[in-house]
Amino acid sequence: MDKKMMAMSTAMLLLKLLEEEDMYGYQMIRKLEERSSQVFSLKEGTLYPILHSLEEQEAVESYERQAETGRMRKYYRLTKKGGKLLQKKKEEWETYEKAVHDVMKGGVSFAL
Amino acid sequence: MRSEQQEKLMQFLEDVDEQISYKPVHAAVNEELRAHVEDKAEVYMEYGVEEDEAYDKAIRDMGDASVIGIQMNEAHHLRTAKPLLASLVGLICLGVAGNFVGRGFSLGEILYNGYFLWGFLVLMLVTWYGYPFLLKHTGKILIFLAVAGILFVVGRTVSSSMGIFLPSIAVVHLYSPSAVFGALQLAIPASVVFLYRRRHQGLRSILLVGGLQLLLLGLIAYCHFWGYADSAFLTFLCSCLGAELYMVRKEYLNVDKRKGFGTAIACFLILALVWAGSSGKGFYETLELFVNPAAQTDTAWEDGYNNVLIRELLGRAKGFGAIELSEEELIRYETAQWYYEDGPGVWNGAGGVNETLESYVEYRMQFLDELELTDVLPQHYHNNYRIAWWILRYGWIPGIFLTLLLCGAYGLFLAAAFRIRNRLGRSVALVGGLAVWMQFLFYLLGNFGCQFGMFGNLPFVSEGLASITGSALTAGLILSAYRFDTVVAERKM
Repeated sequence: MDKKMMAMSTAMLLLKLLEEEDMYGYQMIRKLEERSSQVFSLKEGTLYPILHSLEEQEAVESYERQAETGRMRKYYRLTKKGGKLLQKKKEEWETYEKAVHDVMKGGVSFAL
Repeated sequence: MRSEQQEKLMQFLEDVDEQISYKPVHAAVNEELRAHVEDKAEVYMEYGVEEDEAYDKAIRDMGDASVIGIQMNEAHHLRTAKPLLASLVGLICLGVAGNFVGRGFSLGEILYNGYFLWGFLVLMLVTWYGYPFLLKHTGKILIFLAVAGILFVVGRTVSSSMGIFLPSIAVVHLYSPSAVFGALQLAIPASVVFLYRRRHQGLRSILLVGGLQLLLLGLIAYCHFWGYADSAFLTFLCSCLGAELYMVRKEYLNVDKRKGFGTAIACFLILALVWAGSSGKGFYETLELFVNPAAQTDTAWEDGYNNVLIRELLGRAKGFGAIELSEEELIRYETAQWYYEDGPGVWNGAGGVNETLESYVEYRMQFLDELELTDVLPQHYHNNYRIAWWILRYGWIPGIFLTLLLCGAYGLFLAAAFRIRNRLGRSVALVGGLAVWMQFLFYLLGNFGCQFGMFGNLPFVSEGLASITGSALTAGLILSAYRFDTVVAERKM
């Protein structure tokens, strides 16, 4: 997929995943790949700056939990502010998607 | 993991770190990235890939270390609250200029303004190191305050009951306004950190802070520091209450909202009642001075007279331009005759050189050469009546403009606080911003003849050595909390 489109949508997809449950970084990568049939296969390290920047915006917050292996994992959780941001991003995406669809469909539309 | 793989992983993490300018954040970033690589390598190994290759692949999957580092640096860098910093510099310039206008430009005046330089140095120092220091040493600061308070109480009790002279006690008494002000100023952010650290203890956390405030109140009452501390203690109580209510509302504290609000307000009311009760007559006099200063005008040396005078002069100020006073009027104001001879004032001096109005008039007459408006204004006008002076010198409209400008400048303290993401940082900055606003409010009221307790300071504009240290500490902590906002994680506190 085009890198620009990926960057635009990654934050939204991460927020969507976190809406369902708290997750740590690697778990999110796996979930993204599974759900998108490997279409969303990004360079894994680039996930973290996005998560940290979402944390700075207070869209997500983090906490640590020990895994069974003894490894300490940093989990992310969606905040109320993050929920609103997700809603906004979804609306933006739907507008964009509809516009692309309309253009690709061809023909002329008239605003009344 | 073998040492060769360990080395590769270390190299990858070092490459990321190289791009992140704030070093203390490296450890947390490394820990997270290392866990990811190890998770991924384990998955590869589960699919039968050799350990060496599994780690190589896992590191490769992470992408370019430098790119990750650069992007991480964007999310974690030290910030400067530039509007607030610019506003502080502007306020300091206003303060220095005010001193020169009021007292004249001379070498002595330049040296006198040295405390502004001191304040600026404290501001910079606290901005650079304050917030992490406060987080690390809150307990020690509280212990220091408690030990200093206990030592003072014990020392004072021993010296007064046994008639022993203790220099340290005498010095604290000599500088009691500064000592009380400094202790309260330090206690404001320390209380909020203390509260936040105990946020999981529910209502107990609010009650504990109330207990600490009660101890401080007890110390002030025991030492008979009322009068010095009225406005400072109310500033302390109100700003802490504001921060507590905000923390409850935002669910920073683990309490039911209604119970949290109720407990915080109840603690505030109890403390306010204890405060009013313990200062007794002093509290009544403070209120009387605030509401009806004419009742405290036995002589022109009293604060009540200053308030009556400033109200009278402001009543004559114009919309634009300087107040118009004839030479005769200037003399009557200068000698207080306008009030005690022409007006309702009754001189009631008891002892001293100004026992009678005549002796006071005689005393003032020696300053009548080249009499100006600035000579007429209450004592210490250049510190205490900057806003009133502006109104009298330039008119109400420019005076209101100056007041709005100051509102904007102090508003930036709160604006910076609300831009801080970190909960504790925001709470500390908020309580500091509220304290600055309370000081501004008391100062403003005093300029309109409604003085509350001892005349306070106008942060960074009208200051003394102790108050500018306190103001620099407060503003420095706000700048510092903002500076470290994206790099100091709460779990590290």
